Amino acid sequence: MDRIGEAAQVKAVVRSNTEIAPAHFEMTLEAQGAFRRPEAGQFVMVRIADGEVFLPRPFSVCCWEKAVSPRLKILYRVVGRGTGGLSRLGSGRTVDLTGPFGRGFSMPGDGRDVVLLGGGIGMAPLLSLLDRCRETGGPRSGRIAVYAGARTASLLIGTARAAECGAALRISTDDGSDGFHGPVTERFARERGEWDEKKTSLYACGPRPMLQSLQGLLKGSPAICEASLEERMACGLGACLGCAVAVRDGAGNRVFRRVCKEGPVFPLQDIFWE
Amino acid sequence: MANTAVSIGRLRLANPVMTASGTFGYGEEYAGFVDLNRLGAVVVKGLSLDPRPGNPPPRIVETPAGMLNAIGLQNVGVRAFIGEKLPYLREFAVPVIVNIFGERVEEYESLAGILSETDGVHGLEINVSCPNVKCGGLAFGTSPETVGEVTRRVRRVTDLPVIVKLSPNVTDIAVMAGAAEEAGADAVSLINTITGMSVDIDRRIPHLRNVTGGLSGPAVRPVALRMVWQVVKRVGIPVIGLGGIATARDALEFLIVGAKAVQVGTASFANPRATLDVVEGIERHLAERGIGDVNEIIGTLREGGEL
Repeated sequence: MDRIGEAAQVKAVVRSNTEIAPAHFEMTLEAQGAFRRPEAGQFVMVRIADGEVFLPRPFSVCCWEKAVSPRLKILYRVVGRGTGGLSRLGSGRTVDLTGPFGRGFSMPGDGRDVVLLGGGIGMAPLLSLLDRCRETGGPRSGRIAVYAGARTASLLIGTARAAECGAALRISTDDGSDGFHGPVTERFARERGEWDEKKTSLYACGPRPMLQSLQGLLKGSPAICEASLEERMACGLGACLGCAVAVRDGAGNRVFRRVCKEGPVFPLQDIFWE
Repeated sequence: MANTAVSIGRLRLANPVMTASGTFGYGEEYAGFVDLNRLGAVVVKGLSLDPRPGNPPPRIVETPAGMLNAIGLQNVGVRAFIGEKLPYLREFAVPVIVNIFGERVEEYESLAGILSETDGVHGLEINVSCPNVKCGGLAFGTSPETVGEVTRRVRRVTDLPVIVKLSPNVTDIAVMAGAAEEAGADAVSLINTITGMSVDIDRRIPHLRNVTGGLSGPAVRPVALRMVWQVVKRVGIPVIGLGGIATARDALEFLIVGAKAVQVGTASFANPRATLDVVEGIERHLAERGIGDVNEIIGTLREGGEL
């Protein structure tokens, strides 16, 4: 098992950069040097070497391969200059890669059922968790279901991979073009009776309204739910304090925590929404 | 190998490259990337007497060649720093400079008093220049009287070298530097961030919850360099230059105009090894040109151009 921590800074070569859905890309990076395998839910910082964008950008690692050199995959949606610049990089180009950073998901205990809820590009960190579940053979005897949602069918991300991993796929789209017609959380709400929540671990990542609505649904539930958050950050390693999010601490106080260091994964019920 | 050591008053640095407060955490954050013993000094995140939660997010946004931040001086407070953060730094030979700020002059005094009696603290940097909290220093940094008052009161309670960190958000920064010198400062460091803002045109809201923030990064470097040049002419105490330094070339510009040392700040966010890259780049520069001592470069600007 790889240890958390011990981040590295290496050059990485873009091996592929494919538009898998409108404005959504999958990029394969090959690290040119030792790079630790990220835990499920950890992230890396990617910076275009000598690019016009000054700061690196954080991305969840959705897939890891160790061939000759370590290769990792990130999924991203083009939203601004950083991701725009990234989307124009061809194979063979070099980027600066640092990481892995942050605290990822807790692995589900033996026998627990696992429910993943992903909205749009939020599927990325969940796929890394699925990978880990498959590798460790766990959760032993538990079921795995993936609730994947998107605005429309063409924007569903990672559903093929989820199916390959042996998860039961439950699709929702806002416009009804595939699967359930409505938000991913509403589908889950209707079907939650299938799960013994005392023995279910939930993992979620997606737009904040989705996570907020899931938090409401699960209020008082014995289910364990962890959510992966996204926030603008400059350094990724805990120094800039730019990525603060308000959460409840052990004593119940509202405090700021760093998405890059104490997160990006937090217990869903601890998160305050601004 | 060339001599790279410089002196800031009684403080001797193995080389002129320091970290800038607020960009290097408490040192440990960069442990995997930088051997702290290779740095001239580590300046830690600004400390107040009590912990501060900081501003609500969003706190940062990237801007052309830099970024705006409105962190709001979030910090663990001086007691937790001494108990939980300083022991790690004591393991290194690198001088540790503690940046302090307060809402009242008495707070600066108390901080200076506590830190003077603490093992492993080698200097104080007085922050009178944070633009992101109502009373977080800048209130003291915009008039020569209050700069002098804070400096004098800190000077009275400490034997540690005192560096006063100045704000560029004033009419004449050299006047503030002069006030710090007269009040007994051992050095001044400049510049802190330049107040700025940025707007999301789709939602018509400021990118920062605090509305305004401090601009840093390569974008501010020419402004910082000009101010360092002005201050060097005005004061006799050492000047520490910072503002957008990302490479050895950038650092050398500051040394040539007369800075005795430099701080590398925002560049560490983009490249965690930036401080070390600057150290190594300066060493290479000296070696390539056969310069035996970095001090031979400091303050050697030829203003008349090619003579």
